[in-house]
Amino acid sequence: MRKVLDTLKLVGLAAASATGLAFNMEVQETNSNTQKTISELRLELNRLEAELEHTVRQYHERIELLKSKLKDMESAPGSGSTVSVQTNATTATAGMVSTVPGLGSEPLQPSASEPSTPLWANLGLGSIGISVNAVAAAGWSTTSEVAELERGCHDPHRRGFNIQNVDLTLEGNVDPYFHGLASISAHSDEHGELDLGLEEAYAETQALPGRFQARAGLFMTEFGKFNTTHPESWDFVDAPIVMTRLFGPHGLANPGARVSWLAPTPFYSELFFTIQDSSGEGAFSFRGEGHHHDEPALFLGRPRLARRLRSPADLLITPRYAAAFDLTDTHMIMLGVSAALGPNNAGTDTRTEIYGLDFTWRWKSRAHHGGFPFLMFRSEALWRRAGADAYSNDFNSNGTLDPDEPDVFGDGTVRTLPAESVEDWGLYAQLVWGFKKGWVAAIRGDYVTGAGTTEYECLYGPDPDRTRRWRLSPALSWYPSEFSRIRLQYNLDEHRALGTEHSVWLQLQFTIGEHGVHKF
Amino acid sequence: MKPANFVIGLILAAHSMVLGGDTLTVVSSIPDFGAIAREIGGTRIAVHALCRGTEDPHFVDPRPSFARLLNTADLLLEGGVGLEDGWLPALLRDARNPKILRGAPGNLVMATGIEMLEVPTGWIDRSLGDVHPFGNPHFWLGPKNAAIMARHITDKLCALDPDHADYYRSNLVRFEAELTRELAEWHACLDPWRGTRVVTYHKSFEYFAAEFGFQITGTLEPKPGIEPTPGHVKQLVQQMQHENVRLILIENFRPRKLPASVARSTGAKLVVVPVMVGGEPGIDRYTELIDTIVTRIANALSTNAPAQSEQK
Repeated sequence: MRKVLDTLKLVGLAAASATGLAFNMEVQETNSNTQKTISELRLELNRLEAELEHTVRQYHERIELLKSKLKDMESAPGSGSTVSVQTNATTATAGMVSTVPGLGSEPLQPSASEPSTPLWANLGLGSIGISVNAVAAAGWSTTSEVAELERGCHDPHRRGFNIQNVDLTLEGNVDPYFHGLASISAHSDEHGELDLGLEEAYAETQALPGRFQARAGLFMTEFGKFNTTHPESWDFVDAPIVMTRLFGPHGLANPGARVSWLAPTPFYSELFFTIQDSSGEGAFSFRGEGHHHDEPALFLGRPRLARRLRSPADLLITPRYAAAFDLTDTHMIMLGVSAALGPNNAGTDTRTEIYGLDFTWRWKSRAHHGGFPFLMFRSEALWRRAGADAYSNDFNSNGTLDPDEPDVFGDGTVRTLPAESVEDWGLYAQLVWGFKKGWVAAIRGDYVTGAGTTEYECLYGPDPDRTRRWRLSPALSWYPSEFSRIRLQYNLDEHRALGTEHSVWLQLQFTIGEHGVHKF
Repeated sequence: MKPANFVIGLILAAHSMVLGGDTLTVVSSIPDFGAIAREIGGTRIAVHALCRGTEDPHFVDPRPSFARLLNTADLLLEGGVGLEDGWLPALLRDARNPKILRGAPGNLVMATGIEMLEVPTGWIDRSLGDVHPFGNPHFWLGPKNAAIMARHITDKLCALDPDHADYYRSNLVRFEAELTRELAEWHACLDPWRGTRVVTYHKSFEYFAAEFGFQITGTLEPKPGIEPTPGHVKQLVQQMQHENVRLILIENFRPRKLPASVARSTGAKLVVVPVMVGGEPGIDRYTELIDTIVTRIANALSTNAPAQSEQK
């Protein structure tokens, strides 16, 4: 220890002298050494005791003064409009009187006396944080088939009123080792019926060594920024098109496990590795389900095959790396690269790869009032390559749909599709500007397209899930408090198959209970 | 002296990394806790604050770099009474540092031992605005609370680094003595204006007012955290005129336009002050912060008073 200290001093001295501070440094070091000597301490203590005695006397005098003041004020009641004011003043003074003796005597006691106010009594350790988040939208669109434009399950699906999401989230520490969360969520579908389900339910470690953190359960996959964002925290009324096209209506979310590691770099840098089930509604581009339960489930123009899990390689694997840099004390950028790899059910041996890049730039004023003003730019780009097997529902090759052949395309036709590889990509970019406390203006651009024309589309017409489309969405939000929000958004949609559509949405969001999670 | 301390701190911090962590890394939610810790820990600790002195402490942006910083912390100083609820809990989960979680040895709740003001006694809910169930969380502006905080920080540092307990204790003695001396000066400065009625923007100055005998009779916010409304401001102006309120005291991160117009229509003085260390250039220590607030109020009130002709 001493050796280390001496070395420290030496090296410190050398460095300091280089900057011309050797003298100051020496003085400082000597000071700290001499202060350690007992005689000095005793002297200091004596002086301090004297000072404190003096202070206590002063405080007693002041208390007496305040008490008499208080008595005077209480005996002279105010009239009419000043009553409420009088009460205010009295409370303030009363608080002061009760405060002064406690505080005045504090520094006198060398032994640490515990809080006079039982801070923890009401906290209910081991408690559960409960919150209800609700997002609903009302609006109109030039198309009556709103669900064709808004593909996400939490997007508004119909003209008129939509329940986008109502969730009940319970959260708390399980024990010293785990933190747990469960969220039950409901939303209305395109027929106005409520769809209730478990959105997330997982436990996360809090005390793993080596900068690791593990999570297990049902959760939104750590891919990019948007996929892990709950609807109440969205910057717009609806999800970016690229997210719902490549990840499906429910986003990428499944039961599984995630390990993350905070790297010991001088900037923030974190590695995530997620393994999840690759089937179900949260794995659209993999062994998942289609958009609507009542439609024939086609993926890349083919019926989704029942495909079993044959090896661990048939699980959904999602690695991600994210890094962030504080450019100045008001500017921050964050970069991320993600991949989602797994089998798909457009064939018996086919696979899907999705790669994503995300970029966030954020500025917050050095002196902000309630968190405003701020400016945020975010963009995410995703690219997907999916393999598809050859398929034909004309089992006996006679060119017609026989009674024992399935009508998987829903139109009584037979189709024969070749094996091929299908590529799609898309991106969104958004600028969010909090210009005044509680007011946020935002604009987002969306673009998605298939890369090249596939053979199955050449043969049987364009796949609406692959055609090029773009959207421009300006939005204005007002936060009456941090627990409620009213948002107005206009969407200009351009869809190669459906044409140009205009939509306007008015959205209400509110939270009861715990503070929402403000993630970075 | 001060910059030298800082430079020495930096050098030692840099070397300690090389030599295997001889100094303690202390992270404070707001800079004031860190500044007091620096008085006690001196060159033996490296202090980092998450919130900057110019920010609204209720609304700090949770930056990823904060998670990294908290991960390396030996000691976290947090207010603990609802001040940081909107941003610190999520960061702490991301930081994966069990040493600094609530109740762990490396966590110090700065409100410990402090008599909280405005602890709600009746029913509270969010319709009353952002009312904190544990009381007003802006306790660091009460100068006597600094002594309590300093003592608890000292105990904590001594527990974490018993080899240098003498050093920490002697620094505490020095800081307490300085605080006592300064307190007498501040009182000498403001005691002539005891009982002055004050209007503030947010309930940030309750502890300061209690110390110096100011009466806060209203806020520009109709309810804590709720933006001023025209109706409320109109009523407040009438009330201020009726009560002869002479001072509007606001934090330096608040908008100025509305407070200035209220000041004009009531004849009150608008005083803008930093409320945290680092809130203005040159405010690096706790005593400098209180000194600035005290001086600014005293100057404003003395130029306002008819008896004093001296103008600054």
